[in-house]
Amino acid sequence: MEVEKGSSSSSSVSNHQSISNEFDLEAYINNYTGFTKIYRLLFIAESCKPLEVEAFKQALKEVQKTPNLELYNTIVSKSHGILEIDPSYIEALNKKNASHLDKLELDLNTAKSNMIKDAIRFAQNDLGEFYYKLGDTQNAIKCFIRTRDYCTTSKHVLTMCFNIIKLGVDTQNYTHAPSYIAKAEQCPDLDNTSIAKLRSVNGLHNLDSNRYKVAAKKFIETPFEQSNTFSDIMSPQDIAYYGGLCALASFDRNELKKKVIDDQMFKNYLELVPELRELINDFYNTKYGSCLKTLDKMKPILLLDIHLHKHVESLYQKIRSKALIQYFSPYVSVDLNIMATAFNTTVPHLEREISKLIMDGDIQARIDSHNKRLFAKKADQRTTTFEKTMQVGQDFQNSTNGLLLRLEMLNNNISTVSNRKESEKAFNEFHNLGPNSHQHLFFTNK
Amino acid sequence: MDSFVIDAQSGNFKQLKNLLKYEEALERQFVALDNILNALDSRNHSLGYLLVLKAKISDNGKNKLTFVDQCSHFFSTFSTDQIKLAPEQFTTLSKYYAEVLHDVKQPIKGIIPLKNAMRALSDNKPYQVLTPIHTDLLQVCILSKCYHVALPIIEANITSINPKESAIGIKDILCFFYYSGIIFTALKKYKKALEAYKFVLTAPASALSAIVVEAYKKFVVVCLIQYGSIQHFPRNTPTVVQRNIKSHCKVYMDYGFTFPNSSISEVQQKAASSAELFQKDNNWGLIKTSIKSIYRRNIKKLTQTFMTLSINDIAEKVNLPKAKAEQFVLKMIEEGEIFATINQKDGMVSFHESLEDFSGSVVLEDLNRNIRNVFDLEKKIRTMDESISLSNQYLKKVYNERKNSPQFDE
Repeated sequence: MEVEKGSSSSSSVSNHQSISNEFDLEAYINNYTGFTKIYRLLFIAESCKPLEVEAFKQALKEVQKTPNLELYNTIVSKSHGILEIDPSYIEALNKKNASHLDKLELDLNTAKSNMIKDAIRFAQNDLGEFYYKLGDTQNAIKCFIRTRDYCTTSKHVLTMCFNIIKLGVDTQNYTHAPSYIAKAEQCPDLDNTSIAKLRSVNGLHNLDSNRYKVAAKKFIETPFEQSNTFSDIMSPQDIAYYGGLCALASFDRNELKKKVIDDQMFKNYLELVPELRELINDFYNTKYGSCLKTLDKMKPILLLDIHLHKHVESLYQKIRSKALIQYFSPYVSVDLNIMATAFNTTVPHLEREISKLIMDGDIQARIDSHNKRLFAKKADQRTTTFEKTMQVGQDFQNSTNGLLLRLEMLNNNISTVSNRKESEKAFNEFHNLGPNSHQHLFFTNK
Repeated sequence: MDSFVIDAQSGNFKQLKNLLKYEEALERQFVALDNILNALDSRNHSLGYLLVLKAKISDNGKNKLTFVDQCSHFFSTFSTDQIKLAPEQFTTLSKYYAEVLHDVKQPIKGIIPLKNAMRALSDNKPYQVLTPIHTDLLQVCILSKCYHVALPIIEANITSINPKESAIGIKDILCFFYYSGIIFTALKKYKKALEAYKFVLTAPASALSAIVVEAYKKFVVVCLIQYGSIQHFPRNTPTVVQRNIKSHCKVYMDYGFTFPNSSISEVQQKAASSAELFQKDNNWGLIKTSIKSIYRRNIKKLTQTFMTLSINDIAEKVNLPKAKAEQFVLKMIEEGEIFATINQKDGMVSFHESLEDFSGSVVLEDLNRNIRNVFDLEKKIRTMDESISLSNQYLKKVYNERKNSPQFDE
């Protein structure tokens, strides 16, 4: 929300209107099922005014299909007046939930007393599932982890892992996810769907911790699943967006061609979002103007994504920097005016951007601010070698001299030792002498 | 006391050795000391002279100025052979001498006598063997700001000590390098200063010393001036130092950590908030220099980024008023830190690449000198290696190991 406000405050009204024109909430949200649908609706409602009413209403409709009262309350209270609370619904649901919980716990106890492993696992799982639906993640995760002891086949292990991972993704808390992803990946005979699910979640986890390159790799490695089988986590379009943008931000040109544009599997995903495919092709073919324009157009929509919105700014920044670097790479000198037009920006702004890149060491060049030109810097191998050699020689001499003297001290048993009285005395002596003798030092009076 | 004078006046070494027995007796007879001194000649009766002067240390009622003159006279004229019998007394006296010089605010008087003493005690090799007098001389040099006298000594890479002949202790060594660091810092040779402070940090230790703490404080601030961030401990720093030192200079660490990633005003604020402590440590001047170094570093970065830039842009980019920015650039050009020319007509500064192209006789000479140094070092290491591999201890160890490991049975 913050991000969006900051970035598009100047044109926020027009932007929002265009969002409601371009962005088809209905089509978008139907890609999802389960709680992520509700969370996404809630997120959209909070971050986009024009879509607020519609999103809140949808969210309420969805939440009423679940027994989750807490979420119901949050939605109603956040909607500040758009929705009204229904006391009778709450009361009825409360009763129903309590009795259902009792029943599940009873089931679990019977299973436990019968000592049938599979039955216990089943009952625990059901209980966990119900807690999950109630929105009580703490208890849900406890139950799911408990099923671990009763898993007999790899399929059971997989179910457990997925349950825990799903919980993590929904609450955007990835502390448990990596270890369970690794565990699930070790299971033999994984089917395509499971692999896809694991890869994409792994990507999501890496995206969350700002490791864009790893995230991009994971998303790209995700096998294509037409059937939208894990709509309770994300849609195939999301994978295209996440993977594509991360790849743009972190891959070099060769990697982009080999791993993204020519990749058979990821191509399928890109087909789902033709806009993105064009974008990546534009970037690869160095049509930066249109590429950046598309990016800007995409931005408001991306900001509505619950997982991506935090990273949009930094990803965009990275993509832009990469574009600048690539643009300049074949030149010895470039006219900043021309470059500015290519990037839809002004010269002073471009100058600032480039100077930052130079200072970070990403572009080897210098700016002629007077004539508005950018010149490639030719590295003088001889000078650098000389400088390096001198430095290494000096360092070697320093360290060896120090070493020799230290050895000499050790040979003569001279070292700082802890002798309480003695060291205190020395300390006092030093401090008595210290300040006095330094009083007239050069820098004190300066 | 007469017997002392007679013994002292005889040139016989056996009798001279006897003199050391009088030490305590002398300290009980403050009144007679000046008379005894008059009866002795500082060159021919150096040992006796030394012992009397040493006895005078504990006389609180003496005239300090006379004492300084007496010592100065002694240190300029004594004979090396005799004082070698009492190195401990000699160094105690020189240390006290340096202190009294500070008390009477005439440190400059001590430079020539101490230099003479240093030469004598190090067997005429003041650039190879470290003695406690080196340390005293540095102290006097700092107090009188005669850094140029000290410079050849601290640039000499001294690697040997001789505790038997000079009674050198850990405090002398640590202080020597601490003072070296201070002198290098005052002369703005920051890289060398860091090396000196680094030696204080890496000196063998099983406990933390106040000298090390003070050295680390200066090390931190000079690091900031030179590199803009705190450097890591050298690899061979004793663990006890690495582990404990930071808790003794929290304010410095704090300042150092805000330094690299904050704006100038933030750094200034941070410095001001602990100004009292910095002033108490006599590091305030250094702290101020470190703040200025931010501007310099920023300007330097600009020279690497731009070929031409107007003064206005420079001022804006480094956050300074225009006139001040021009001054900074000028000063940096003068000091050879950046290569640039200012065109006042259109207010443009053009930055050039470094003019140093590493050719010509100066560079060649420099290279040669360095190579020679490395050869010398190599020779030193080789001799050391030889002496170790021939030492009893080493041979015993190797022998025992062979006996214990079965594969050498054949």
